[in-house]
Amino acid sequence: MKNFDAIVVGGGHAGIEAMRSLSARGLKTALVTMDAKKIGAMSCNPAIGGVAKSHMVFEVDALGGWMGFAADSTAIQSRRLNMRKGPAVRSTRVQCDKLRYASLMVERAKSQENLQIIESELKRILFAETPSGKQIVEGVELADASKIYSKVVIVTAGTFMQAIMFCGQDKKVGGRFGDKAADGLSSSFLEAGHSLKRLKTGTPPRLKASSIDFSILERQWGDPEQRRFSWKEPAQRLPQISCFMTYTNERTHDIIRANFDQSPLFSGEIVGDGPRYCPSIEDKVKRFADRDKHQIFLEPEGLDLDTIYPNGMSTCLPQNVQLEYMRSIVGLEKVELARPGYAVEYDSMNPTELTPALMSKYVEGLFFAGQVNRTSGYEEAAAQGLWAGINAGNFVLDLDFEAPDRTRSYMETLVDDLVTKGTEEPYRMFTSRSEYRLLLREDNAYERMSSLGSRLGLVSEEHKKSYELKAAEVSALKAKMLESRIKVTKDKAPSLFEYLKRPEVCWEDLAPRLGDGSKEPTDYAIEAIEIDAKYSGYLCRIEAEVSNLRSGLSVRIPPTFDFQNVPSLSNEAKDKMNQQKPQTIGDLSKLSGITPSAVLAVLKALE
Amino acid sequence: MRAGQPIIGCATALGGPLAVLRLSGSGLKSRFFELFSVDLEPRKAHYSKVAGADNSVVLYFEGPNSFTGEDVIEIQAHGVPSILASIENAFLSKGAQKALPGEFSFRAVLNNKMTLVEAEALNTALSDNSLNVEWAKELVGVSKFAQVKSAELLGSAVSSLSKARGRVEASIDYPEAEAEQEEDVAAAAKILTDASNSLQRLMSSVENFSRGSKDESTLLILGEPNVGKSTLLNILSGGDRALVSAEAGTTRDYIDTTFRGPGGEKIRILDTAGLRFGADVGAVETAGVSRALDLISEVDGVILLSKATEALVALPQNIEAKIKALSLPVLKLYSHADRASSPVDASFDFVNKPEQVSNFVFDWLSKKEVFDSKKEKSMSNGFWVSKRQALLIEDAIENINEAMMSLTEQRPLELCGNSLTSSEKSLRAAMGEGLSEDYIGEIFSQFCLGK
Repeated sequence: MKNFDAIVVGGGHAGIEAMRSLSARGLKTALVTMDAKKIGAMSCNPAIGGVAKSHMVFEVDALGGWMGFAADSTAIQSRRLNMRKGPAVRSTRVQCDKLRYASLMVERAKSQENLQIIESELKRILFAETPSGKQIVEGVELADASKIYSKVVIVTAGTFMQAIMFCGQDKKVGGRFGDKAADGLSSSFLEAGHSLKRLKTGTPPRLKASSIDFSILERQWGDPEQRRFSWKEPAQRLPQISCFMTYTNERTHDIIRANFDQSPLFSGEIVGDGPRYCPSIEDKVKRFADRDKHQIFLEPEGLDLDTIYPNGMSTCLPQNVQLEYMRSIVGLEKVELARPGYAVEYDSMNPTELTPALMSKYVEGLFFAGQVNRTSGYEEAAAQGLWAGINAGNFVLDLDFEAPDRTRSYMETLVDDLVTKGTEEPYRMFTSRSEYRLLLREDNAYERMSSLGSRLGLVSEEHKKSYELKAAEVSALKAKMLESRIKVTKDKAPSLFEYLKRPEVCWEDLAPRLGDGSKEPTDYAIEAIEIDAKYSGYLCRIEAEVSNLRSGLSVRIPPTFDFQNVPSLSNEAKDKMNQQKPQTIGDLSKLSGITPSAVLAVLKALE
Repeated sequence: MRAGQPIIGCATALGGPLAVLRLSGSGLKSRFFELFSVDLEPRKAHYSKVAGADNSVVLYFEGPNSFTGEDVIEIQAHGVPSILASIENAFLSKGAQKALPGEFSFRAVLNNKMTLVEAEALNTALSDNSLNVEWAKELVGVSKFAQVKSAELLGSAVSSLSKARGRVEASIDYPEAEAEQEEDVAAAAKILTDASNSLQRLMSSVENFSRGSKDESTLLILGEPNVGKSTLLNILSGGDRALVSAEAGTTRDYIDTTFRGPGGEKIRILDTAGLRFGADVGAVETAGVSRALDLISEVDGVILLSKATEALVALPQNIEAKIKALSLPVLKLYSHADRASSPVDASFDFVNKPEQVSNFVFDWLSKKEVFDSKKEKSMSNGFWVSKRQALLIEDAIENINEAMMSLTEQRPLELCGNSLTSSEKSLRAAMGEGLSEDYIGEIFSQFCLGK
């Protein structure tokens, strides 16, 4: 009989961060996965990051997670997005060599202390009932009928539960190309009282690079400077490659339209809801019929791979149709498919049946993280895996659960959205989902997470030191800029820092004035100074709001206070508050479904 | 929230000969049929003994075709308090509950029979003490129309705002579609300008409306110094409000007096310091002219007072133009009739025959065609919003303007996005809605996005 502190089911992006955060705190962890060689596999887009997603990668890294470092080490193209739209929405996106990414993860997992990898399918989760009638988790039963026990089980089954793959008329049981499905889990959860919903996701075909005529296509280079997600610099960087762009055309669309009846999406074969922000190409052609072309990015999947990932061409039309319409595209006239595109339909959990710690409301000790909670994206999965891992660890160590703080990170905004509002389709993070997005930036991820990371013991000394050095550099630079002055007019000589606040002034204008033989400041420091100078005005307001929010928790609400009088509250919020009659702002903010802005509105009304 | 459960309340003020008791809830008929002596049929007037206490006319409306959307029973009972109490108790003992203030309207809103905004209009109309019955009825009728217009305007502002915000946010959250973005942002700027303008028009029109809706006429007395304006004011208001002395130029600035006319109507008169209309006017007088111009926007009519003994005086051009532009009714009056050799019509001796001038003025005021049509016009063209809404709309306008400024000044786009989000929240709150949880789905579904 094997005993562990924690069992993590599934070795995907959520599973990795969950098992890492548990084992790093000294908890004996088992990672149960169907295929140990596929830990960290990228099922779809071979890229990490993107708008709002990269923020979560930085946050995960700030808490000692692995995704950022793996992405940096295997990056073959790096781009920064939204550079001129504001520091808060600046994001990083890297394309990775997917084979190297996965093998790096496998290596790290193998050498991780306190971790045992068990390669096996799962028969079922083991539940028990306490004398008081409470349901708790006991462990799992493997395919060979052997059992392993633990205090917590984190399920990160991704798209594998009762999964069926669709490609035209072909139906196959399986969670991913080449993999089986996980069939033992759904019934366990249903028995425990959970409700499941069928969701759908899709992936494009993979094209043989050797069959594509790149010479006539537009090239897209990455940024010359490679942005780093992680605090740690990888031992070496991979050579950079370029991507290519092409477009569908009317002929492509005609072929697709002529074959609508062959799509299991439209025939009703697939009942699961798919993400609206990641539609298949046949979806796009149907819904946006007036568009005469759709953009496609051709992304190499790895330095040693002959496969190209055509971004924007997710599909589940039959393979021969896929080939036909692909060949109608400029540059792809002679293309060969390495693998056809397909859709996967799978069972998903209802995240509103989970606590803010991502623990089941029905079974104590049972946690869920990742795509199984109705999200889409590796980064969303990693963030949840980390959050669930943190809370599962706290549960084992008899500590309080961490409450998600929307003012602190996208990771916590994600968790809060899922457990409070729920979702009926795959959830993807956007900057517009956070009302505090000005505060949640890539550049301040470590600052935001540092106290949590230190308290939980998830951040190594080396990591802390590297941050402290950076912070010291920034304050030294700021001090220097406050001392030096620039003569603007006869009687106006503001400090360089003050001068930088002007919208028309940028760092390059001032750099020569600082030159005195000292080292060139790092990009990190320059960016930090610019944001500080130019943005602090805008941040003041929201920072005041947040600190008001935080300090207002102990404000008492008079028992006769009528929430109907609070302007800009929704009717549901008013009813809930009048019903529950919270006595302090702190109590109010704990009510489910009450947003921070609602709390703020009440605070204001109380003044 | 006890929607559906039967409630009972008195819909009329106590003290009258008849009182209307009203019930609302689901399944009223089956619940309370024993309290009536006839079988209730929808939309029929019945004569029934009610609760063994009174013979009343009873109306039955079957939901959803009623004021609240639920079953409604209205009992026109005798207004004797003991009878009313005993009827009410009979219903209470059969499971009805006393209605809370506004609960009937609340249910009407819940059942989508009225919007929150209409309910507010009704509420305000009923609670405004300055309204007499006639005005209240008209106000409710007209305000319903006016606030339906407001609701339409708000609704269309919100959807424009949502579109603009969608474009800005999509441009941030989907930066890959670079080419279309500049168009998107330019389109957003245009949408915002239109939305801001229309909201500002709404707000200034609301001012007009609330003035028009007040059962009060505001007049401005214009005239050169010492023609007797203050005397006139005192005559009309029946008091010594204005400082009157033989010394020239005694009224400082302007005086604002409200009083009731002979018919009980409220009248408010603004008496300015004398304006010199002649050519050589000093700085002080010019200030007086601009003050008069400001006041003209606030009034319903103008009394132009001159001395009967002097030649006809023309108003300064700008004042005349503004009065014309606003189509304000003007009454020309002349004082010092006793000293004029051949006094024109409308000349009066203020000192010795004050009642003549006051009759003349009140007579003019009571001419409905003169005043009420103006009120009707301002109300029929006007919009109406409640105080709560006004605050939220002002907030929204401020945020939209900030968003537009951030676009023209090319500030980071995320700031624009944030301003637009605040603004949409305020507008939706004005409409009684929260920010839709699924706004992302809604706005992004307009665009072909996604990889």
